[in-house]
Amino acid sequence: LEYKVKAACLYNFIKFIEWPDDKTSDSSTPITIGILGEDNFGTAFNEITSRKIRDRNLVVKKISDFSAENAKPELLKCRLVFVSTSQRQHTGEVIELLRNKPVLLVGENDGFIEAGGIINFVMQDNKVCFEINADSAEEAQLKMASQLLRLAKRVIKSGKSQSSNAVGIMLQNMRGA
Amino acid sequence: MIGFHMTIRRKLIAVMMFVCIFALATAGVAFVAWSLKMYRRIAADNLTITASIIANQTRAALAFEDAGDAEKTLASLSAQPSIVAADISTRDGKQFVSYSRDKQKTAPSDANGVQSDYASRGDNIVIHQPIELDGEKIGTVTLISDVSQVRRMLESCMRIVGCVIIVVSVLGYFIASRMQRYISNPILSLAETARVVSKDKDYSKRAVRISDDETGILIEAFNEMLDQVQISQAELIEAKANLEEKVRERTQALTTEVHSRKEAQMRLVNMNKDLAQAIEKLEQSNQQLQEFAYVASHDLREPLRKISSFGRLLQDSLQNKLTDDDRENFEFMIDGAQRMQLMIEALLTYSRVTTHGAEFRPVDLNLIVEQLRTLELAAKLEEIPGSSIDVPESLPVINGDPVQMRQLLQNLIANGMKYQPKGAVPKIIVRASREAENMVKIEVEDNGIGIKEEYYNTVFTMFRRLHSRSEYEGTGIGLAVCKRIVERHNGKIGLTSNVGKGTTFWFTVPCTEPVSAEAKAAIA
Repeated sequence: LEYKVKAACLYNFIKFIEWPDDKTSDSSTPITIGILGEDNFGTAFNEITSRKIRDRNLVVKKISDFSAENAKPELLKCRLVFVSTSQRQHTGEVIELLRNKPVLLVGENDGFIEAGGIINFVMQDNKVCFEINADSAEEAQLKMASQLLRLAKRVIKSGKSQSSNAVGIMLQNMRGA
Repeated sequence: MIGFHMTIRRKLIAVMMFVCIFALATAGVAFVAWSLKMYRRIAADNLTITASIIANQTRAALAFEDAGDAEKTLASLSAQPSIVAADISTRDGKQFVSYSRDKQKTAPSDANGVQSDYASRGDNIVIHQPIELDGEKIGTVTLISDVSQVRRMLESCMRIVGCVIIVVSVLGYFIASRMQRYISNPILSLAETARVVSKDKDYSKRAVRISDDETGILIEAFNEMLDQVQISQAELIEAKANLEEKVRERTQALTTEVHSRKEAQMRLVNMNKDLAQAIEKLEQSNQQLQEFAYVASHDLREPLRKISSFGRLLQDSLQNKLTDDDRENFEFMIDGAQRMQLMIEALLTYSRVTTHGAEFRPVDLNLIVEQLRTLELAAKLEEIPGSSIDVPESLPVINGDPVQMRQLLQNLIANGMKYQPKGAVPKIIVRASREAENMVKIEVEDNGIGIKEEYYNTVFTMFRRLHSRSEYEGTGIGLAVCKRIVERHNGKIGLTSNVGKGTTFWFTVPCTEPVSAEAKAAIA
């Protein structure tokens, strides 16, 4: 179940994040999701890949090992790369490889965003939550929806960690209308 | 509604007030209805906007199934107290998060339930806003707003309208009370004037014209009418005065007239009295005269008889010793005495008619004529052969003095036989006819010499003779006696004559009832 939720989250991340080439890309080009390391998702992606995002098909690419021969060029083709716990030892290399590239790096290890990753899954009260490093996302030229930031348990922005709730403020401002 | 017994003032006020309140109430109702509609629309719009915002804000939360965040978002709806409940359901209709204004109230289980639950309460506004993500519906926001605010607003609106109506009614009453005078005052003044005029009959009163409208015209017309009434009244009074004057004059004149007439009547009465006295005196003297005449003639008869009888004796004894002249003188003397005797007899007869009359009783005229024919006039009938007294039809029985009737008929018939031309044969016809109800007319017709019309009345006068004694003998008393007898019987006497052919004497006498009936039967 945990990975089914994580698959749905990955799918939703794509929806709430804007890539720099989104407006120029051809809709016929599929969006590639790269899974680095041990695949724990099973059939969780089967349902997701049948859907489309912004009229584009979804393709899941599995790269079992970073140290493999064609791993690096494959990773560069991806829009989103999920680094599983099994590839924890390669985290630094992956981050280094994809730094300043428009690739969403999602991990599931503590300290992943501090290391330069963008989103990291954490388990809290048996629920799947996530953390975001907004600076890394900015560096990767990815625009994250404010709602996404709000949903995150922890956000690193300009080195500081904060959690905010803008919706309440907005609604309070609307009361007079 | 407006009662008909109300005064015009109250009616006017009532009409104005009614119109005022009606207009206000209508406007108020329209205003409230419009406000309600507008408020509902605005509320719905606001609710839609809110729902849109909620949908946007909770999109990510829904996508990541972060109920806590969505709940926070929904919790911020508490800032809008009109929202009773909110609900976010997932794509497959399962409730994701819900919100309820009243915390105690258990949140509705699903959107459909909420909808039906609140829809049944009537005026709640329910908004369904889909939550879309990348053109895909991932859930639905349902907002339910109650109308308690609307109701509150409606109530306050109605309160305001009610207050306005009350205030305007009070103000309107004062304004109407003041304004109605423009209409009612002239009418009321007119009505007052009319009342005073009608009560006091004082037609010199005038209504004051205040306005130039129809009321003014009415008042003017009323005043004109009063003018006319006043004029007519004045004329009437004058006419009455004239009439009274005339009546007075006339009464005075009548009084004078009556007075003078009374005087005249008095004079007349006096005159009548004088006349009666004179008549009495006359009658007395007449009576005395008649008595004197009777006594005189009665007493004169005896010496005259002596003269004539002793004259006869003397004439016989001196038969041979007398000359022819003496004899002739004797004859004159004796003749004179005899004529005087006859005249006195006639005078006696005349006076006896009234003084020695018998009582009236039924007299058969046929019998009298028959007796005359055989006794008194027999000698004259024999004297001239062929002379006759005819009674063609039976004569009636009359009511009268039998002796005088006999005398009357004898005189008339004898006259008819006497006044004949020389050598003529007298033919006398006696007839009877009805004159009136109880009078019969008896006619004695002769074939004598006739009488000129100018002597018709004089023949009945005593001692009046139409012929010399040498022509026809007579005392000149016969017809006077006849007249007197008829008059005693309350009848009339007269004649018609044709000179040279004959005369018809007629007289009327009362008839007895049986004979009259007989006569009637005969006539019938």
